[in-house]
Formats: sequence, C-alpha cells, structure tokens
Amino acid sequence: MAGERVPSTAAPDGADGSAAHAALRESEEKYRALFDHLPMGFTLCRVIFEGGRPVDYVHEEANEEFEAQTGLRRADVLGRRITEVLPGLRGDSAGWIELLGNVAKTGKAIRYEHLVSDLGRWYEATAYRPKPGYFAVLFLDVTERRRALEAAREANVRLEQADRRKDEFLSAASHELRTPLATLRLQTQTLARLLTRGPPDEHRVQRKLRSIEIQLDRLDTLVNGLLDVSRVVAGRLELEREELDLAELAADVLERFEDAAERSGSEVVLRAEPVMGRWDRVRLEQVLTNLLHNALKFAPRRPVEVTVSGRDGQALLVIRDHGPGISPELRARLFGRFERAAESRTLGGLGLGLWISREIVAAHGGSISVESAAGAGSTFTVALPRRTT
Amino acid sequence: VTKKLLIVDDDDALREALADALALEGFDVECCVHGADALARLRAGLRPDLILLDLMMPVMDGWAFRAAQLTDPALAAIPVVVITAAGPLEPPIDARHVLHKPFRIEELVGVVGAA
Repeated sequence: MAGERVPSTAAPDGADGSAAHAALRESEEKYRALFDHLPMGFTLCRVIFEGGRPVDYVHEEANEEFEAQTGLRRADVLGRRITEVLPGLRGDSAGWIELLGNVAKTGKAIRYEHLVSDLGRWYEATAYRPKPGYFAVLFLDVTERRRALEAAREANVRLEQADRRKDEFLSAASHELRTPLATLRLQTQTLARLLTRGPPDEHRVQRKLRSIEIQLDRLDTLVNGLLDVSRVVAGRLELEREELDLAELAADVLERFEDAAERSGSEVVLRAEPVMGRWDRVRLEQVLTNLLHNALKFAPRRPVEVTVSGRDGQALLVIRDHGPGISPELRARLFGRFERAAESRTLGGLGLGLWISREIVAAHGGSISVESAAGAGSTFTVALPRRTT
Repeated sequence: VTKKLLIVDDDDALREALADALALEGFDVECCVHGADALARLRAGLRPDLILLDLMMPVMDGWAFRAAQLTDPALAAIPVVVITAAGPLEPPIDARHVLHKPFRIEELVGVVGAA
C-alpha cells in the first residue's frame, strides 16, 4: 500500500459532479474493502485528554477481523470508552492508555506486544497516528505463539534441571561405587601381604574374607539399583506375583535390619496383622528395605514404627520415623528420579530408592505417599490392592 | 619412632580396612567415625602425627572438621591427608595430600610415610 494515494474528496464543480461523486464512492468502497478484509484486527480510536494528559480512548471504527481477534462484538465496543470495555486496562502497569495517547499526541508510531488481561490474550500490534488526537492499531492475536514459547522455555528449564540431576547422580554413583572398591582393594592387598609374612592368623583371614563378601554384596546392590533404572525407563519392570502375607514379609525384612538398627541406635518396632495378597515378594522387600534404610539414615537414634494392616481391600504398610521431617519443597520432588535430600551430600545415596519404590508400588496398582512436618518425623504409607486379576 | 595416625571415616568397612592395612605396615592407628568425634578426641589430648580424613561424613563432614581444626592453635599444625571418592574437590580443602579411592596400599603407605 506504500505510495498509493487517496484521491481527493473535494466536491467537483458543475456537470462533472455525478461522475466525481461516483469516483468518490468507488474510492470509498475500495478503501472500505481494504479495511474490512484486512486479515488483522484494525481499530481507530479517539483519545480523551484531561489537562493535556491521555486518560481514556474511544473506539470509533473497527474492522471485521477485530471481532475474530478479540472475541468482542463491535456493537459492544464502538463509541464506548475503553476503560468500560476493558476495565483491567486502567490498572495496567505498562500504562497503555498513556502510551497510545502519546502516539495520538506526538505522531510517533510504536510496535509492541502486550497482554490484555481482561481478554487473557497476547497481541502483537503497531499503533500509529492517522490524524491528530487519534491513533489506529493493527494487531494480531499471538497468544498461541506466546504459550508455545513459554512451554518451550519451561521444558528447557525442566531439561536443564534433569540434566543437572543426572550429573549429580553420576557423581553420587561414582562415589558410592568407589568406597566399596577402595575397601576391596585394601582388604585383598592386605591379605596378600599377610600371606607373604608366614602362616596368617586364620581368624584375621576369615574376617577379611567376610568384609570382602559384604563389599561385594554392597556393589551387587548398587549395580542392581542401576539396572533397575534402565528396567523402569524401558518399561520392563516385571512382577513375579505369589500369594504372600505382608506381615510375614515385613518381619523378615526387619530381622535383616537388626544390625543396621543397632548401629543407628534406633529401635525398630513392628505391629502387624496378617494381610494376604498376590504381590512380588522380592520387589516389596526392596520397597520396605528402601524405606527402612532412609528412616535409619535420616532419623538415627530415634524409634521407627512399622505397621502392617488390611482395610477395604487394601494392604497398608506404614513406616513412621521420628526424625527431622521433610520440608514441603523436598516433599514435592521426593519420589522423582535422582532426587536426593541435601543431607545426602554427607550421608551418601543415589537418589533412586524412593523413585524405584514408587515404581514398584505403582506396578502393583498401589500408591505410596508421605506425610511429614518439620521436627515431627515422617510417615510413609504404601497402599497395595490385595487382589489383582 | 612409630608414626601415630588418626583415621576419620564414617564407613565402617573402609575404616577397618585402612586401620588394618596401616597397622600391618607398622603404624600406630586410632579411628574416629566423623569430624565431631575426631575433634572431641583431639581436644581431649590425642596427638596424632597425621590425620587421614574422609570428606563426606554425617554429623560433621571433612570440610567442617578441617575448618575447626585450623582455628584451634593446638591442633592446626597436625597435617591432614584427605581420602575421597569425589572427583574435583568442591569446595577445595587445605590438605597435605589427596588420596582418590580406590587407591593401592603402596600409594597409601607412601603418602602417609612422607607426610
């Protein structure tokens, strides 16, 4: 449209009057069509000034696309003050009435993108002055683009966080693997040295072999934990269900925890009633082991209560500690993969236990939840359906 | 004169393996389970020639122990060899030497003997 000139609208003289009138109408129709069929919203506004300051404006004209772009009917808008149509504009921190009023005042066009809060939509717009005291706006709804950009930005932040957690996990995994490796190397080298110094003390050798076995178990557990990650990620966590009593399973696990509980200075108490169901024994033992391990790790020298009960077709396994509790911030991400409490920096751990536990419980069709308050300990509840088809 | 060592490590198995290996090499070895434990023993009069210090420990970690040790004039001069499973140490720590797990006995004995 650049360079196209609007024909003069001055009334012609004498006999040429009707021809001039027709030309005028033709021109009017031509520009009306351009205005009406513009594939963008267009509106012409008159600014209301008070003491030379723009305080409001009135829509005097709007094209058809205006309605599609705004969802407003022209009949509801034209001739009315903008603050009546969109009251939110008055409290708009960007001060759009003043900015657009200044376009009408100074003639300096502006391009901008802004959120019309009353409509909940983003617009990309250009405002210019067609004549003093007025401004015209050409605009397009760009809400979808903004939302897509926002979603991409949020996804990017999430990816960066996941990436950071993965790095932390690799570092923690390396740490957890190196400590038993260091013990294994020292013990095997010490054994070799003992043997070169004549017949060794059998008791000492037995103790070293036992220590080596414990470290091998530790490495085995770690490697299985890592394999579990790939199994779950690949959707290959398969359950081997059997008919079993959850109370019996809990008692077995607690027995294995006697030494660890003694080292932690915590008394672990079991209150259980027989609850039968078809579950995967090894996987549920893993869940209880993870939860007990955490309780002893994060709440040492405090009692831990384990309860098994049946209710409404569900089996409930509850592990309650009396430790420092879990902050709401950590609670929100506790069951995520690679999530570790801040204390894990000194207490160790891969940040997999609760995540794997949640996956195992979910595979059984159950749920795992936590209740906790600062200083009041934490209660983990595993709910499992008792019968599955 | 037998060199006196203090091992500070929360990992029972590694602490025992270190103590046994070093005792076999003729060192006089004492053990503590975390930084606060070691600090209490030192303040009670224990005077090792060298401290073997793990970093990631509950109650008081290696960094906090080292900071407390350096502010105590009676303890500040005791040299420290850090034992770690971490890669680059963050934050860095002032130590005579850093041993990265898993190390060989020869390396351990060499570092402890020289420090």
